[in-house]
Amino acid sequence: MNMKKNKILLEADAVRKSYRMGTTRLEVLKGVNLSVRQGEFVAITGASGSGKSTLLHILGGLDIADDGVIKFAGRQLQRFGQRKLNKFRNRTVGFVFQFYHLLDELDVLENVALPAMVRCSVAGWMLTKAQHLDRAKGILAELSLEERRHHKPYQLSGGERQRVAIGRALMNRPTLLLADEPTGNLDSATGNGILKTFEKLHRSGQTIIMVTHDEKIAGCAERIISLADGRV
Amino acid sequence: MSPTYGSIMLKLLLWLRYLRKRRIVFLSIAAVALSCALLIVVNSLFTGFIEALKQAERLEEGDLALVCNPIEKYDALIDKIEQIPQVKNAAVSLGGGGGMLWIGTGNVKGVAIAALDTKNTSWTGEFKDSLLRQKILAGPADFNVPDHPAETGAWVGIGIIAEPNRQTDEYDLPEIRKMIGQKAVLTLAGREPAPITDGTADSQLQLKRKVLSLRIADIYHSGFYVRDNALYLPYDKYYTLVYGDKKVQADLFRIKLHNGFEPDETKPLIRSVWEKFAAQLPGYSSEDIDSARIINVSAEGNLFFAELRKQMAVLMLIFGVICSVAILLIFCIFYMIVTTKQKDIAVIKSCGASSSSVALIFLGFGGCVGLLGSALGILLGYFVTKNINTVEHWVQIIFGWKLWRSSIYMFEQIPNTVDWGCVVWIVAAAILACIIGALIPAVTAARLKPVKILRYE
Amino acid sequence: MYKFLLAIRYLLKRRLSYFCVLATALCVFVVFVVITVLSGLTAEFKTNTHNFVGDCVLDCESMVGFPYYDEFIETLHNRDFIEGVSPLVRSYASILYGGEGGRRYSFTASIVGILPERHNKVTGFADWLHYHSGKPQTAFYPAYNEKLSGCVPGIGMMLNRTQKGRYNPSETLPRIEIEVGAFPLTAKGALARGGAGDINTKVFYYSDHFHSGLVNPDNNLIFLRLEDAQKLCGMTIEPRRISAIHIKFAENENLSQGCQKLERLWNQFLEKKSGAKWANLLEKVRVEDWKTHSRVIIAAVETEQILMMVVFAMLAIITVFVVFVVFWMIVSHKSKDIGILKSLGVSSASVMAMFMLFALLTGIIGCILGALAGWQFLVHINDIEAWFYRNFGFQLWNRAIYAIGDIPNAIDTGVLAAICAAALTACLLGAIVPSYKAAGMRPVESLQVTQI
Repeated sequence: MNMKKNKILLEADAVRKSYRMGTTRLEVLKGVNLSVRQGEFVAITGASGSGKSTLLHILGGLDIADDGVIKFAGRQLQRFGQRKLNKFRNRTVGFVFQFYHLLDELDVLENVALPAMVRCSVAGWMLTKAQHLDRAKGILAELSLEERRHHKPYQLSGGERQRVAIGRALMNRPTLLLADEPTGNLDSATGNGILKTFEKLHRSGQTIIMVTHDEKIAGCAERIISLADGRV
Repeated sequence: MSPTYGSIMLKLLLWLRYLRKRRIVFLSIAAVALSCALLIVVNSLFTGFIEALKQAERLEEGDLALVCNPIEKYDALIDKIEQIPQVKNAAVSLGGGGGMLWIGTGNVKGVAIAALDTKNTSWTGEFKDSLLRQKILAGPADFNVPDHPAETGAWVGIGIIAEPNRQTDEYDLPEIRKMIGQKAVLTLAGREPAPITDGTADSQLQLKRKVLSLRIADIYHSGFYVRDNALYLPYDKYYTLVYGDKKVQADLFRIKLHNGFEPDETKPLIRSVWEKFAAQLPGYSSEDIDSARIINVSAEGNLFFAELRKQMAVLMLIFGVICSVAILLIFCIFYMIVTTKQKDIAVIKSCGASSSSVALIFLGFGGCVGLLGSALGILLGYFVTKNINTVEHWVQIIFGWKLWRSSIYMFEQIPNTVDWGCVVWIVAAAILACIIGALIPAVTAARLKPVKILRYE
Repeated sequence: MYKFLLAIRYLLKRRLSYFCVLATALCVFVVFVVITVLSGLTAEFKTNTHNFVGDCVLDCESMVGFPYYDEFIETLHNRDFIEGVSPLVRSYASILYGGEGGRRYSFTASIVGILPERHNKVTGFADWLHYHSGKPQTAFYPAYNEKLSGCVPGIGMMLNRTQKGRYNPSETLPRIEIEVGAFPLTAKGALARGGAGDINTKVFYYSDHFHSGLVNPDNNLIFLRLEDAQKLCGMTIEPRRISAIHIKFAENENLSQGCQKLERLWNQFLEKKSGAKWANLLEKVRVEDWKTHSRVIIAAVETEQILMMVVFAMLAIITVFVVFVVFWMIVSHKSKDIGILKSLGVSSASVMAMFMLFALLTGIIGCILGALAGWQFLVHINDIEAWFYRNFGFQLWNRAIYAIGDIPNAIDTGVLAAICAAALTACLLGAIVPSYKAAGMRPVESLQVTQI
């Protein structure tokens, strides 16, 4: 077994999260425990409203748990200040959303290069622009979208948009790729195409956590974690 | 429930929901209210100022002037003219002149002079409220001097005797009242033909000094700067002073009409009265009768007032352009509502509502915003206009600025009547502007295809 | 870098932002044009008034005047804060002059007696002259016969004005007799024995006219030699009197400080003369700076300026309002984008900075458009007015009533810069709250499934 693969990358211990809905409080996560090793492809499944997306957002630093401990590479995420959390989301994690969430004002190449623009200052971007754009083009080539690089998101199909979103998520070479129902908005053929992309990434050593409600899609992952009633 | 009733109820329901839920709509109502208030205040103050000026001018100038060859029985002519139903009152007048008034050792002021016939109590009655001593007394105003009944009295404008305080723009009235009864001397200059002594046919005009000793019968304080710096004399005394004639005549009559009557339409009636009266005058030829002129001296025909009205129109135009930015605001807000409510619109259409019905939702909504905004604007505008003098007073107290000085703006108080005629136009314009602002978003909403919106991506 | 990129893209792609640009441009245009024209009129008016009066005036309320002026003027000699002193007699007179075809006109006018060279040191007298322009010493010498006593009436008394507000004087000086009659007054204010019929009259000859740019003097005033005016008004009767002393301060002298110094000197003089025979006449003298002296006309203009500033402040508020609403809507629309950016690690401060940059760009473009439109409008404003007059008979300021020539349109870049700065500030202020709202958005909420 690969030594790198055995190393625990992400740990969640007794994670709780609740939301206020009017006067009542809805507890979504009631003490979730899980761990993910480096290079693993994990699928989190559960019924609608089971808290899968909430868990994913908390693991990726996009939301904050009410209680519990999240450790990433041994460091507790709760102790991160806002600045560190921003840096974490920019450089360590890559998000892929169900509805792609591309910026309509930017073309495909700019959407993919966006994380690098966020990372650099103006001067830094001026100096490293060519390098970053080359990488973005390389990612698009890998995703068979090179000819579409100057197109706007509205000019792409659903599958193409999702691939652009994946490309964006990979731009800064994230340690962890988080995907929230990546095929939820696609037809089965297109969805299969996306899954193949994930499989390819996994084979290259990328750690992936994918949330899905579809057991069949979850079956493509190495390990499945089921969430029910806010617990694993 | 009929379809029409149902669709009206639906529109009402949506209007109310949109109004309550979208805070941004309150901003647009506020923008409309502020714009309306601004236009109402500016228009009311400017119109009020022009009206006050007109009224002040009218007090002495009247609406019409009858210019004729001199006649002695001018009282009788005035009685005849006042019998015309349109005529409020009439009085003799002597063309405005000026002179020097001595009111103490080393104290001589240049003054403008106005003459009043105190037998004509109807005309002079309008001056009584501005007289410091006589305004609290019963009976008609006159030029009698207390304790000096045989002497000629005059009403002296308060600005001749004293200056207002630079800071407060107010007069020291108790000190000024002490001047009543004091002596004064008026000196005039006139041009008269010099006696021909050198055998030439033409005579030269020579300058002649005329002096009148008088006493201050009262102090005139109207709050109208020009009148408060004038000297008022009894007509017969002034006539005798200017013409040196013991036989007092009149060749200029001023006529005031009741409100609502047009000067030009009343001219023929006055000419008719004049012709009948003059026909009975001994020594008056038909040429004399025909040569009499009746002139419209009202503010309507006055170039100066036309200019003021023009300035006001330009000012209102500038403000109107600025306030049209509010239309942009309405447009932006409604456009946003349409784009975020696309699903709502699609759902309503899928339930059978027509495009025009959908458009009417937004147009009606726009009208509501306009109506509410202008209603608030009227309240705000009315409040500010009515309390403008209080605002000016507080500005003076807090900042020490006396914004409105009688010496500059001719009145002591800012005229503050709301011009309701213009308010109606402003409100109509506001509602129309809001509907125009909502037009494009309404058309956009009407043209939305439900299938495009409701398709799940 | 992404901030600039997104701010520019939002500006170009979001049509809503065009309304911010339009609102800003409109407000800049209106303020720029109105301030330039009104400031021009005001400045011209105030400059002309200042130029007509000098810096400070010792003025007597009464037409009798005040004595001992020569002694006081002597005390002002060699004062380093004073550049020029001009004694002056002012009164009313009956004027009789011959017009065309032997017709004679009689009316009342103001007369002012001066020492022309000294008056020119205090005011712009020599500049107002036409035939003797720049030569005050010869102002009262008619070119056709220098031995005659000349007078200098206001241009409006001698010439008619065109509809464009211009005068067309003849090349050569016409010979016109002007008879001036005034009442001589004793020091007690009584009428003195003058010439025939107790009036002082003298025939003067039109030697030049003056054009000060002020309506009242140009239409109602005649300048005479000081001595002539004193004789006419009886001010040569013991004690010799004048009506006022006009003063010009040295260039670096502050106006109010100069007037205070002058008032102190006058009070000292009053004390010194307290036992004199005619000291009572000195009590009627006031020391006023030129603004106070002309307050009836100046204050109106200054108050209108204050009111205009209030109006412009309201304009700025409206601009802030529009920008606020538009940006609020844009931020609401862009909540998904904000969520994406935050998921990519963009900080809240950066999100806020991006929208503020967007507002700044909006303001800059609006200012440029408004300034360009305003500049072009001002350059052609007189042509536009002439076009309206030719085609519709409409003139914004009827030259028969308002004493102006062309509508002032001199562009002050400082003023324009200030207007643009205010407009940019208004845009930024309007965008602050929406930007702050954007910064505070939680990415999780904005990336909800319901967000399209």
